Amino acid sequence: MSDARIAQSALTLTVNGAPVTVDVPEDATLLEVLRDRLNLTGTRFGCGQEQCGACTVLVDGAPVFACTRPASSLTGATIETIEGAADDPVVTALIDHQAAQCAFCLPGIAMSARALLRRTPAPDRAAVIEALDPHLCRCGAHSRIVEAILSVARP
Amino acid sequence: MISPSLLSAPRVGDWIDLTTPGLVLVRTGKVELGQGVLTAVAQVASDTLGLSPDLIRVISGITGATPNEGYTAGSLSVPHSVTAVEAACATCLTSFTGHVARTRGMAADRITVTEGAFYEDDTPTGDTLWTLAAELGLDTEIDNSAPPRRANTTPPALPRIDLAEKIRGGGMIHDLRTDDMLHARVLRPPRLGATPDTAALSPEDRAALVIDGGFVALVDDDPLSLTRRADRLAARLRWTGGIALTPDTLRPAALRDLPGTPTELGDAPAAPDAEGVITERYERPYLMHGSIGCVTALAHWSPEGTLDVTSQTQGPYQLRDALATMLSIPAEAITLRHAPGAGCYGHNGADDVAADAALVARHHPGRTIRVMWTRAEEFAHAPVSSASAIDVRAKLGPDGRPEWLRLDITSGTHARRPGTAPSGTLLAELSRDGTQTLTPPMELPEMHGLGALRNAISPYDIPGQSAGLTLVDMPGLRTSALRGLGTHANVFALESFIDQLARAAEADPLAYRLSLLSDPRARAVLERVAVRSGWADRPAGGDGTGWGIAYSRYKNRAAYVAMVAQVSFDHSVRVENLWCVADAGRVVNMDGLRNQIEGGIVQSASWALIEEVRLTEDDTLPDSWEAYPILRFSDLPEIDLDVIASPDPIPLGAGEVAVGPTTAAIANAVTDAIGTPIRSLPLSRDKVISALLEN
Repeated sequence: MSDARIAQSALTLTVNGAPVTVDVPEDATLLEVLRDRLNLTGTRFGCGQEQCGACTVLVDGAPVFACTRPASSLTGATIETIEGAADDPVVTALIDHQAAQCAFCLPGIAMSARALLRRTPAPDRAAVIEALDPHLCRCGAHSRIVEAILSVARP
Repeated sequence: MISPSLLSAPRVGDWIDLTTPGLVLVRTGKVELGQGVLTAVAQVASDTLGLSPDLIRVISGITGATPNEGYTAGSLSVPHSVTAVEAACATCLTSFTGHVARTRGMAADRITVTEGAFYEDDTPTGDTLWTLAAELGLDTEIDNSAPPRRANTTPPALPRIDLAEKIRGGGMIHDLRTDDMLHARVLRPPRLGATPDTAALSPEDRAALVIDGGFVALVDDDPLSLTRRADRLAARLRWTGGIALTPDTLRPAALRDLPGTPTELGDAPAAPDAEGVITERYERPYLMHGSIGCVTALAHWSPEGTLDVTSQTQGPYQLRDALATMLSIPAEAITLRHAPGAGCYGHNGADDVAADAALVARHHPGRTIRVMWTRAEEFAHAPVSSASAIDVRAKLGPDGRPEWLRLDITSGTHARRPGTAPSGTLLAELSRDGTQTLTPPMELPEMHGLGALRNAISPYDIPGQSAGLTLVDMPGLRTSALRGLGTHANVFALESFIDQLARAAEADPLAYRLSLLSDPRARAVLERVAVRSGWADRPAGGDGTGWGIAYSRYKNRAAYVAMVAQVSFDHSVRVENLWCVADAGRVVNMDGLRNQIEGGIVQSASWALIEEVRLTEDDTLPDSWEAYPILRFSDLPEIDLDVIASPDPIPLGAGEVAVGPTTAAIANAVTDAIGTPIRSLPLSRDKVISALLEN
């Protein structure tokens, strides 16, 4: 079969605090490693074009689009996914506020909010909206999401 | 009748299963699309049986195991399925209570049930739901005529039973993996009806592909390998024929040049005295679904010839039957299981991707085939929502109020789901068979709330009303259902026109509407939205800010919705505030209902302001969010939603009820802001600027 075997080589990353080694093509994205090698499927594929934010994870504490980030550039980096943030207060707040309809976009949004709240423990509404602007939500849960994140920020 | 779902599933045992002591298994044919139906089902079962929600399990959308409730669509999940489950639970409890009372020789009103245990006064009888089910069975026929429960005891909303898992990154069809999984990607024609020149491919390429007529797909054990190989193969595969699109194809006005099928609604004369008739033209463009996730399906063809499909479809039975036709196998050979996907707002690619997986599975029996569409497939290959061109005409009486009102609508169909035609509703089937001609356009009947004609008759007290539809079919565009169908364009046109009549009569838009509305529930939502928004004290429009109001009763028989919008115009239209008051009848789960209405408001605001299908530079449909943007967090208005405590015992639905009034109120607010109406959606920057220049 033509192209049947795409060359793959071993890559070691640190995901949610644990070192992992996977075989991937040299141009593999972080999202491909997470979903299709590590079975960390909480990080969502939405567009593959950095346009919707569904694939957002934290790299060294900053939100990045995993769908285009080359995995090979992340050796030695600290990578956090929604699976490592299940008990984050912002995740709890999103659940408590019922801040979703289909919830497909929520893991990515939760990761951006986690990064924001670490950086700015008491953001105002404008800062929350700015942090969430790379994310698309089609169900229209926006105002609940913003309220949920602000509730974590409030004392 | 409580629920039409009870016609095909008339017995208690069709809906509930009590074989596991301590658990109540509830079956629903409606599926979870993000609208929270499973939670509403669990809540009503819990409330009716007097059981903790923890003891309820809901299964949904599995052919052979759950009732056939048709499509999960039309804001009917609660009106149809939740009421059916409630009636089943009520009948079960009544018959069990009666049995216990008869056995013990006492009046039924001395028997109570708590957490599934029966009590005579305060003394346990030893009976439970589960012992009685084992003894008596659940073959009892459900009373489908009992008076519905009163609405004045809305229980606290049960939180969504599926949200915690999903927010933490689980619970989606995209997450399912099996050890025998084979990943597949379909190589798509660049134009509807194009055929692949597979003969020109190398023998190696051909051997690697699943080629079934004009359907071409690549499979691989490894999804990473698959995407890379598919990209290379797609670049080598040439296509011929098919229907090319041009920018003109997508103009709503181009619909008027097509031959069509007429349908009439209402009884007023179609062409009364032409003198003194006011006419305006309105347009709405083609729209896309824009779900954030890409549709996905799994299919497994067993060596025995049975097919097991996991799909995010809205209609498990209808998809099963369409797959059976496509594959020429009996429907009984197929089991269709629903699994949740990203938000679904109508007939998107969910059924198509299931057909992709099923067709590949036939070529790879014994393996579980997984197909997940790309973002480009989501945009360029899923059905789109038809554009609409609408003429509104009215004749005013001496008092300035309309004596008659008519809409003439030219639109594509909103109904091309599986089941609307004997075959040809699935993309894989069209590709395989090289079909260029889509299934004939159809208008949904009144019992389904109409399609392009939905809400084409205004809710106002106007003596003569009618509407005419010319149903057309734009070659090369597969149009079908999106949230609300024709209600969006029609309410936009009607409510814009009513505002124009109010201006001509120098009347306040609210007062003018109230003067044409005698239904107290309609008046109540309008009067209340005026109070909440401070309508009477709003500033005069102009200088780039404006206020607008709109009203509609969804399908002319469901929820009442009144909306006020406040907008500003700087470099583009910005919606600052929306106030919505809704009377949705009986509310089963208030938070779920509010969530659905809020979602409809936001989606409609996005349609109103920026959404429009435009061709890319290659004259193909949009393939990315860049080519089809939607509103973002920073674009969103403040939303004040008030749901009236309705005395109505009937639930009227929620998901689609606000899409018409939202866009209409925004359009009327823009007119107030700039002094001239824009009669063509979206209310884009360019249109506002040209309207200002013309003014």
